[in-house]
Amino acid sequence: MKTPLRSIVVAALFVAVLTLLYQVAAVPAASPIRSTFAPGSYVPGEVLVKFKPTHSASSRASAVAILGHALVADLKLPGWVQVKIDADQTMDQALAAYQGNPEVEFVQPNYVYRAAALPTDAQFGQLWAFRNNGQTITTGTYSPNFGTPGADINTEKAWDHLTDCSSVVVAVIDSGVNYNQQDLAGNMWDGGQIYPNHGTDFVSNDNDPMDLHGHGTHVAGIVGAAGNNATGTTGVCWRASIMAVRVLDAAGSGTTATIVQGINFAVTNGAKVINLSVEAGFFDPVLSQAIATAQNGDVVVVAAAGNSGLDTDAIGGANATYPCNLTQPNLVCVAALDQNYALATFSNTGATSVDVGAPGTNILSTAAGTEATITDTFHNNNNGVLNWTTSGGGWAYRKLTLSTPAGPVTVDALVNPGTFPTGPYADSANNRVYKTFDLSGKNVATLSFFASVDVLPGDSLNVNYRSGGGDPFAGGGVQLIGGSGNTGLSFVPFSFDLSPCINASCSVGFQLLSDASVTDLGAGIVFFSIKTLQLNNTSYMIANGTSMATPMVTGLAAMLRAYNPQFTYADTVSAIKNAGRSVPALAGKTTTGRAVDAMSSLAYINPPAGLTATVQ
Amino acid sequence: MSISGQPTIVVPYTAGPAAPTSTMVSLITGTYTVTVRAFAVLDPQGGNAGNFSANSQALIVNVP
Repeated sequence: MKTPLRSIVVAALFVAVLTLLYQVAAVPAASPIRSTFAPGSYVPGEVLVKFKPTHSASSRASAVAILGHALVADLKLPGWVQVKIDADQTMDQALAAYQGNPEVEFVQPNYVYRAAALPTDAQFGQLWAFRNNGQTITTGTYSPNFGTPGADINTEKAWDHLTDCSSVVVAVIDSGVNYNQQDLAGNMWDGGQIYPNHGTDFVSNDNDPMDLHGHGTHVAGIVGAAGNNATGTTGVCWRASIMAVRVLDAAGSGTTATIVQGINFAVTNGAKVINLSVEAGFFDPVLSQAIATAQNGDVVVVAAAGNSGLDTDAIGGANATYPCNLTQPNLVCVAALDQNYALATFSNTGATSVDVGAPGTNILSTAAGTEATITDTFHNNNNGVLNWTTSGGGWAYRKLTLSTPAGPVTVDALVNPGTFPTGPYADSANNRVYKTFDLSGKNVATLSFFASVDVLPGDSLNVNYRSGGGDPFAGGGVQLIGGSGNTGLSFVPFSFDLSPCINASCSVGFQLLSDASVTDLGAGIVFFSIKTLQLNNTSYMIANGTSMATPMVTGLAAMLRAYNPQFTYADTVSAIKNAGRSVPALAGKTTTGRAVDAMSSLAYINPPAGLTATVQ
Repeated sequence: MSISGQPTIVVPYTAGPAAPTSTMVSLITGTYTVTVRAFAVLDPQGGNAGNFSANSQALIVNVP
């Protein structure tokens, strides 16, 4: 008895990512390829044959047909023809078939040549993330500043296929973008008449997202500084559509409100990829909701792992860092790698919360302008004498030894009383200390310092500035912060926008006021600095951080969505995570153990899903 | 498409209104394991030698 034949119909409900297959529908399934040649170095299924000059065109056709091959073209070079080989034949078999023919002088594969898609940008040689040939980044600020050849995101090969991501709007939700920078001006989002400055500003609540800090402009350049324009640097995308969304102020600080508004603006106005190079150490339900809203809008959100050198999955959640510790599937969290693909010392990691790694040290990119930092050690030439103007006594210079994770560090400090941190400060005191700085010609100034404070209620530590110089606690002074408090002997960072004080004489001061009752330990100020920014359109700078690693991945996400317009956020995230290259430094410290690889992601294809069968 | 005990079958991708991609195969009585993988034009080295996806989840088919 014969076994009955039945038919089954197998239907694969391919997910959107499989539309890649559509692009190859006309290409036969790949023949087995021998290792004689590197894959991709020649056209599969084709050879070029040179017959002896005595061979006529008709005899060439016959010789090809006998082998089951087909003539594709006469190359118009004596004897040379292009031949399509048998679909079941390997390249070596086809070559051997002609090599055994006495009428054939030469046979070779039909080699593939590619445009040398290396951009002409003047400083491309410093962009190790895109082409790591072991170069030393001479102006690098992170050690080591030399690399391992090949430790890069493999964009060169991807650029052979795509350099223009401008069909995908990328929102840089950050400190704004200097949209006039020479390498960014042509790659900014077209916001039409409503947003003529290529984005919006939720700090100042206007539509001018000019970067007054510098962070956002650097990030934007990594995503999409104009490539191949013989100028400056290039981004992952040579052409881009960058939406500038300012949510961080001149000091680099933002709030839940500004960031969430920024995300919602980006989603509403067509962004398909969001770069979020920010971090905070607390769960924020509103931020979580905003990222879920982005998911509903089919938007990929790429976020920085953070720069605290912590395992953010540590038991108890004490080190949890957000947004990376959120679980939305449209979120990709990025750690930073150095030039040798070791984990950057500052990079956070997390086996369940950090996804991939990308270059994040000694990264050269666009700058908002020229940055400078005025530091002050409160004394001259180690003479131990306070060189600030005082009024009412109390304040003094002294060296303090701080305990840090790297060991004890001795620093210059401004203290009140002079015995701080042993205290106590004086009763009924009005102790003022101030200094005048020249901020002329700057566009932005940011005051930063660390303070340890132990001041009782009823007393206060005040920080003021005064445009024009002089005592900032006299008429015309403006308070930046003031009050009592206790930092528990820890030094806490403070940062303030000092831009309203920009002129040739800007005085900054500290005041300790106390009533007649008991007092406490007082205050210590260390690491005093004023960072200035003078906007221009031609500057570049090197920076380190997971903030710099993140836009590498953001650019890749834009590239993937530009190459595959039908890609959903899920397809994009899958190609980023699953196609990276395994890096030992990331094993067990990220969800994938991989660093992003642009070419592999471009070639990645999801397995088919939704397989069904019907027996008839 | 791979059916246990059978030669691999190349099935052109079907897009648009005719989707999903499907094919018909004649089989004798038995139990078969069916998997599908997709083919892309690019390969991870930057060439055009092609690139296969991982296999789909296996489908067990009983032909009575």
